[in-house]
Amino acid sequence: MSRPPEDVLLEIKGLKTYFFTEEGVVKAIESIDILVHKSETLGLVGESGSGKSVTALSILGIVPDPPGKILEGEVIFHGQDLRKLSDADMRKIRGNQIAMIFQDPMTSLNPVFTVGDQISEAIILHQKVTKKEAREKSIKIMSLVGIPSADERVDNYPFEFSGGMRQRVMIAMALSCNPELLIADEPSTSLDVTIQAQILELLKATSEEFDMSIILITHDMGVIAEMCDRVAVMYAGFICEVGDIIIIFKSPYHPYTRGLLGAIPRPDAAREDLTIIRGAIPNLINPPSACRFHPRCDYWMEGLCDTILPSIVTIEPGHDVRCHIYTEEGKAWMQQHGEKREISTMPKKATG
Amino acid sequence: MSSETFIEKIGRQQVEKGLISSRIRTKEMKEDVVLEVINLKKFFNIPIPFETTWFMLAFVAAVVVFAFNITIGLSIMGGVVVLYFLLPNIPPFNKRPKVAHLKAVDGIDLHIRRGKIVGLVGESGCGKSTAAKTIIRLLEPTAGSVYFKGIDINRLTSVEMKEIRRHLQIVFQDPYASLNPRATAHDIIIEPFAIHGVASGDEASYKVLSLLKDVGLAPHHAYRYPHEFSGGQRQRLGIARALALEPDFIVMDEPVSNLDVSVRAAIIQLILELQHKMGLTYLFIAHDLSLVKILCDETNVMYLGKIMESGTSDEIFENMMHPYTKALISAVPIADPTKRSKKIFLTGDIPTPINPPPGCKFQTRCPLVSDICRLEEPPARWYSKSHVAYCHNIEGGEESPEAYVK
Repeated sequence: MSRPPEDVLLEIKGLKTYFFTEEGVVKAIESIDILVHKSETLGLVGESGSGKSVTALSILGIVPDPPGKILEGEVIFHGQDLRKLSDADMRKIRGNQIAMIFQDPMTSLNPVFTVGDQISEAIILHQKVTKKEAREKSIKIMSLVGIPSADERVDNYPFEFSGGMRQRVMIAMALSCNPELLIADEPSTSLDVTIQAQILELLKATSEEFDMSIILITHDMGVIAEMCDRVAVMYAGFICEVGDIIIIFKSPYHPYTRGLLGAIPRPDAAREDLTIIRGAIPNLINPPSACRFHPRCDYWMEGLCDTILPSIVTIEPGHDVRCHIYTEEGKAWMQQHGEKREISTMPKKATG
Repeated sequence: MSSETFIEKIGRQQVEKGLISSRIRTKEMKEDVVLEVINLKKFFNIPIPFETTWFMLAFVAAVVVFAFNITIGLSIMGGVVVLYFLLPNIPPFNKRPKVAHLKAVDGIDLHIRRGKIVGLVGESGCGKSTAAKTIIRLLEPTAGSVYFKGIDINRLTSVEMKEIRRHLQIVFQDPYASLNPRATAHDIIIEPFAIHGVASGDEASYKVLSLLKDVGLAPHHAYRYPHEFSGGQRQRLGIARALALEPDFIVMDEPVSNLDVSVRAAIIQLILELQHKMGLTYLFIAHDLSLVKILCDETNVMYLGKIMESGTSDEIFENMMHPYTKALISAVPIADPTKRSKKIFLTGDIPTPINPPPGCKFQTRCPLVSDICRLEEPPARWYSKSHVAYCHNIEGGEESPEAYVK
């Protein structure tokens, strides 16, 4: 499943982002490694508060500072480290080669400008066009994302659009400069299922048409299953598991991935198949030591998981897990304690 | 138990007064129906402000005249004001009605048997929550009746209604908005005891602790305030409050949609566990169809204030007939990447329920729409004793459920 290195569009290495607040240091992202290939959709999934959105902001270098700060790591896009770029150079990439769609289309659109103005703004900023050409381009892109009678609606204000249409405007804005990478942060969470299906289909179609990569951030495993080629599961500032979508859904290796998949109603599953992950996501000012999932984990190896951070284990090329069940230390612990830790498979019906 | 006899007494009185037919009562006893909703309607009247454009123009003109000649200016102004109140009734100014009807719930029927979980699903704005509130008479219905254990609750006096309220409870969607931020968990749960005079003092406090235990909270949580709880714990608190008076019937108004995935599963398990333990009956309102599929025994699909299709969950999810149900179910993302389904896309958004067009409510987005849909309300088509869909353009089915009763 691994692809040649020249196919890599974005690589994040050892990213670490903290927020220095009055209550203490929020260790939002501890260590993140992500690969995004060309024209691939990568899902980033996890509970709220696991650091998904901060990862997105860190890629674009728009973490609110203060209180946030990227402490370590590289964000390599097309072979250059975005963190080393000057602000001016970064602005040329942001919105042009890497674009982002935010969760709430109402708060991320400016209420006092027409949507046409807001789409044109990005075009004028990144391309050498006149205002009139930018407007024509805006209309074109609006009809492309399925806004009916775009030539009239271009002069409307955001409040005159419904939720689904606003999200289409956001997508139009993001697509206006033909980005190579689109970061979609919960693009369909606040929408109804029927509208969600429309928006996801639009994203799928445009990513094919523009040959664009997408990082899709969501907490909905269903959306991940419908949309993505690969998926990265995040928990409290770490990537637990990353791999091909079909493998992850069929035989998850990490206990947290297993828990997430068990907690959602899957097709053909019965009431009894719903399982729970104990406890709640920790406060990241004082996160649990070492593997941050250990207080909630059914496979906790006492004395190991809470003292040594598990290293990343490659199960097969492209499928990485960060869990002691698969590390050398973990195997030694199991032998020493004479206990076996093995991830149970998914309920039978669901895998079939 | 005294409450049981109270319900029986009210029922007998209502039959004696001729308010309800004895048919409802015998039906309730025979089929064990806890709640029967018949043709329930809830409209909201929304005043429409006058369109003042022409009035403003005329008035400005009058002011300009006023600057040159006071007498003529004043008389024109008077004329404009008189016209303003007359003209809305004279063509072509009378197009706007003064009040618009927002038909939130436009005639729904439900039939809820003891110990069942009945689902009510639909997009936001389709009237699910209004229906729920109207059913337990938190809102007065515009028309229609709700029979709880064979008594018509909309004809009860407020004193009688208070007695019945103990048996009809609701858990609200937003655990952040539905708990009093200034009351401790203990105060929140003890309130129903005080109102109904069920228990007081130590006995009540003891009951609070056992309720907290029932919903999976610890005794030391009793003196915490809502802001000290997480979202899932708050929802547990909301459930404990609903359980306090040992109700028969609980409306769950999207109890898990504001919660995180892993917490969601825990609350669902709690809801099921309590149902087993206490023999509860639920009306479960949700927009998450995959949840409804595994949770509910029966499912009702609602669109713009009307039921589009209803039946057992198996019938709805395996053998759906209505084009709206088909579109809605196909739109749900399936958590299995090997089964990426082909979707039916509805065009546009859900229209406003203010002054809806005649005929079928779904006509503006329906892929099967034809001329008759714009004129007449769709007829019922029964596909089994329990499975009914309302559509002009679907095939098969019988005109009444009696065809399946032998």
